[in-house]
Amino acid sequence: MLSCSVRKRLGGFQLDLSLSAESGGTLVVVGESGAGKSTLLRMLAGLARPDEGSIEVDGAEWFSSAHGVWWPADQRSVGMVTQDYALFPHLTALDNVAFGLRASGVRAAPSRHRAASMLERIGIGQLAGRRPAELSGGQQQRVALARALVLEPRLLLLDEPLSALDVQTRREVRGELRSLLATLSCITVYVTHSPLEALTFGDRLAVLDAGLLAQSGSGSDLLRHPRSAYVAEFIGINLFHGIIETRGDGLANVRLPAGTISVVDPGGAGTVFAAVDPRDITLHIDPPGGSTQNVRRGPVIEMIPEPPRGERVRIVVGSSPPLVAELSRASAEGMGLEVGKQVFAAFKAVGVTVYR
Amino acid sequence: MAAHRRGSVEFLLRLATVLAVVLLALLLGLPLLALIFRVPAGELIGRIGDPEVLQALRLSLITSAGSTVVVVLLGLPTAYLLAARSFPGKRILEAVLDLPMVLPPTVAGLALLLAFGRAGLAGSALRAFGITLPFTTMAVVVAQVFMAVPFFVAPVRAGFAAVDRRYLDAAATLRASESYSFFRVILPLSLPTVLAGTAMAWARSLGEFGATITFAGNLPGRTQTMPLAVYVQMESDIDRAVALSVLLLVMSATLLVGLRYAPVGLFWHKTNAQLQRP
Repeated sequence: MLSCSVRKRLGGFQLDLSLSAESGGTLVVVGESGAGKSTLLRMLAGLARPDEGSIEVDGAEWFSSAHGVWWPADQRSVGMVTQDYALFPHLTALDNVAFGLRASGVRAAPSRHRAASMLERIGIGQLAGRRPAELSGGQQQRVALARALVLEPRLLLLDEPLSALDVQTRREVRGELRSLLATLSCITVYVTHSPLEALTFGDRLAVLDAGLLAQSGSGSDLLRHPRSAYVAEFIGINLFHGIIETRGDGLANVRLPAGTISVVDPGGAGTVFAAVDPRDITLHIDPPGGSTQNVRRGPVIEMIPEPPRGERVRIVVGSSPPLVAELSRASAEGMGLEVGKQVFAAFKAVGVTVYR
Repeated sequence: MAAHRRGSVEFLLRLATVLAVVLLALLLGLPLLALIFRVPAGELIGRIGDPEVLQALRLSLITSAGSTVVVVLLGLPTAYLLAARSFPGKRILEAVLDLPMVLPPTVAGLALLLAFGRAGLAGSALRAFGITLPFTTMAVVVAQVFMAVPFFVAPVRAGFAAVDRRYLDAAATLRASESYSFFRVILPLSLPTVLAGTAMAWARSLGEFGATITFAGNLPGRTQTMPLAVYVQMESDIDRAVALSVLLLVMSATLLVGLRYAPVGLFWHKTNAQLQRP
């Protein structure tokens, strides 16, 4: 069990977050580059010292500003795999894996024996004698993993372990890594900028935004109720965050920094998230009549074909608030949509998912 | 036309570059050739057998090897400290360590005499331990260490500082203490630089003249190293001086080329470039 609560001032922004993770599980920390993910990992590893807070693993205090406790990296039971693996270029794969055992005082023969069986376990026993320069990216990644795991760490830290691999290799390694992680009894913290990777690997996800925890929970929770622009953009939905104001007719207004939208009144007050699926937004050249509560006018800013086959297209409308609609390519062409053209974007109050 | 003028400026600059290189090559190369061709090869080998030559050769080898060992033993930790830490007085220490590179060797010799001579600052303290430095073989080693240290510390320090931080972080998460990291990561990764620095320091010790003759004197068999012997023999037997000089030249060149490039392959089976991650 890991529980950490750390604060650190980093140039422009403040990293300030609390996280916990269970043994045998994987906590994925996801966020844009610069969100503070790597700094968090370095603090967990003992390579960077937080200004304040505490880090506790299985009841042992690794850091506590209150108690003046700080264990440096070499005294922690951690394993770390970084994006570029940092394999020692002057050592063979076997000696790279044996390095940590030798450094902990294990004699040469048993170290090499254990390193060799670790390489076997991870499926690259035949590469033991090669140096990093003679290994492919995927093989280097496996050696780095073996090097970290052979020490049987309590806390395994993976910092973008797949991002240096090409697409093909990444697909292969992703599956292997996932089944390997499932067999481990340690606490795994996996850092990535890719929401897709996060959903693949995490039992629990934590979304980091500018040094703060934007959201944490299960993957399905994240998909259903995103609470950060980063995740919303990945899922491809319109996400708004604003203050709710009851109207009394069963509807409520959500006041946003730019504009207002009408929603079905969920009751209560304060700030809420409001999510609108782009497929629930219709576009019109003339003002639409009828009962649609939300109609906003604005120019088409961007038209993005939707993969894989581009049969559908996403239209970004510069209204207040800005909206993204998704429609079929045929209807977009039928309306003669092009960048700069003024359109009306409309969606119903019942089409908005409101959550706190 | 502007394009035409730029073309001729380009041509003149290229011509000047070639001229500069040729002039430098002549300035450095011609004296070396003169030295090598002054005495026929067969006679040269005979001259090397002269007892005076052998005596100076033996002394030079012993003292320069000794001072190189001292330079490496004292220089490695110093270079590491300078590369890895900041501490009060670091700038001053750096200046002191660089100074011998620009100090006239005779001045260094005089300074050594005033510090470790009989009447010097530390002279009486040394005498209390029964040590008298000036005009002994040990004084030759001290003078060589003094002059050779910066040639080792400066490049090795830069080599240590250039070791990628990622490797040190990886070593730390693999339970490596600072000293384990130094011997298993930093030192092997900067081995080419350490060897080059060692070669430079050794070659500098081998060629040391000014500080040695001032501090240690010119006693055949005790303090008369090869450069000193060359100077003395020039007055009496120019050919013997030439033989000594050619020998020195060959030794220095071998050190420079040999230690700088050859043994790297013994420790690293692949070349440095191949081992760098893409």
